[in-house]
Amino acid sequence: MRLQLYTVVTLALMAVLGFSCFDNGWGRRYQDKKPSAFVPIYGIDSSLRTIASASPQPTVAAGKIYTLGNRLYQVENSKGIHIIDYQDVNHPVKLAFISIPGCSEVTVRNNVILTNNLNDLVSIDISDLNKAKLIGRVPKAFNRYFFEQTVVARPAPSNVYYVCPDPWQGEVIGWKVEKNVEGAYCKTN
Amino acid sequence: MKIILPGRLLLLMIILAVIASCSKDGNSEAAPDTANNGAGGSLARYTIVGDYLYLVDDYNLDVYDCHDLANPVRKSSQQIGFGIETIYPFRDKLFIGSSNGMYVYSLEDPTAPKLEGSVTHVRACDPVVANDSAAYVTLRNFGTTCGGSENVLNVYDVKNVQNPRLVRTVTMKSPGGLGIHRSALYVCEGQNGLTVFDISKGYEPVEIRTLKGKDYQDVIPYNGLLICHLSDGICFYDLSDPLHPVEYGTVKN
Repeated sequence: MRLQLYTVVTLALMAVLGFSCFDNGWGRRYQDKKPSAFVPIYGIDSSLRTIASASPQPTVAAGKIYTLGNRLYQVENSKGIHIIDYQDVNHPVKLAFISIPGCSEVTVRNNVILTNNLNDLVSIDISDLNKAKLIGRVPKAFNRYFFEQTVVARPAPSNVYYVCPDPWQGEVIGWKVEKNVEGAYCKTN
Repeated sequence: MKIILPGRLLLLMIILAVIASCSKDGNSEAAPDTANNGAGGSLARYTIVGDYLYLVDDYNLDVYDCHDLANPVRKSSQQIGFGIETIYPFRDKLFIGSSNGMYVYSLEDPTAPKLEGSVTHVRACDPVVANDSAAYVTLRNFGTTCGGSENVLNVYDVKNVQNPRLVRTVTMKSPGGLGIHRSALYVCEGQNGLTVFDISKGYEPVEIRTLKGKDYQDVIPYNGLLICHLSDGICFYDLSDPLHPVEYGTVKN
């Protein structure tokens, strides 16, 4: 299955690269080397796999929602999940925030949140809201995350070329500058 | 030229997404609203039905057995298309929205959903909700990720799920997440408001009103409440009269 996906993605990438190259022509663009460009460093960032309870947080990038009983769970995009009690629906109250890096989805069953921590499916026991506990993890169960990462991950400096992250190589945990870089088609603002 | 080439493509493929909400219509309400069953919005990619978690990424529908929540076990994975965005459970079916169509899967075997029917439409973002006779799909062209050309609400006759039939198209401003409660259909249109339709008259949704003043993204009708996902938080409406939501509280910062 992974191979099929990879093939589809690769073909699609090639198609888009092709379209983008009308100004330069195919061949020239593919051989285009940048004298200096940023290159992603792939790896595993364990700090991004730490899940913990926190006090209620402000809602900044409000994400998807799920409700069960008198509680509403709302994703704070890529950061975690707000837990809100609405027993008094005129005065809903934030009870806690569960920090879950890379989170975008939320479902709940029997005091267990099922969500994504980056591209892993995780089970988080919230019987004690102050001590959310990771009780299960299925690695790489939600590979969609990687696609989002390739959009989000970019070097900090503005107006620089960089090699567009390859979603299948893993997480981008940093950037290095290299000389004579091929394939640095991406550019920061 | 700040274009990110593969990123742009990936954006297209990503197409921000959707879910499955257990919106209740009159009939389905009896069963799900217990202490054990929650509901999500129409923009979700994860949904729980019984002891099974269903999730869609861009291509696949995966099923996890969650009898032991600490140890979800993948029971099946099937490639179902391209640009999959949302999953919505209704009774023994899953309605799946993709960037070019809607798929209906049977949950007769909850571990291995089986394709029953599908219908294609123009390329666009498309959350879907359904009741016994109709499926409602919004297509939107705003934003940069959808590649769509229309802003419409499509109504499909799904009495015969093997062959969903487009029966009505309603032009809207910027339709997104949506939900059903009894005879009412709620369609979020971002800053253009939350539009309420009366869907009691067959396949002819009648626009009743549009609530304004918030940036509506998605809704969950649940236990007589309409829970709205706003761009900056949530708010609640009373649905004692489904066609006349009455505002309760709001949670922002």
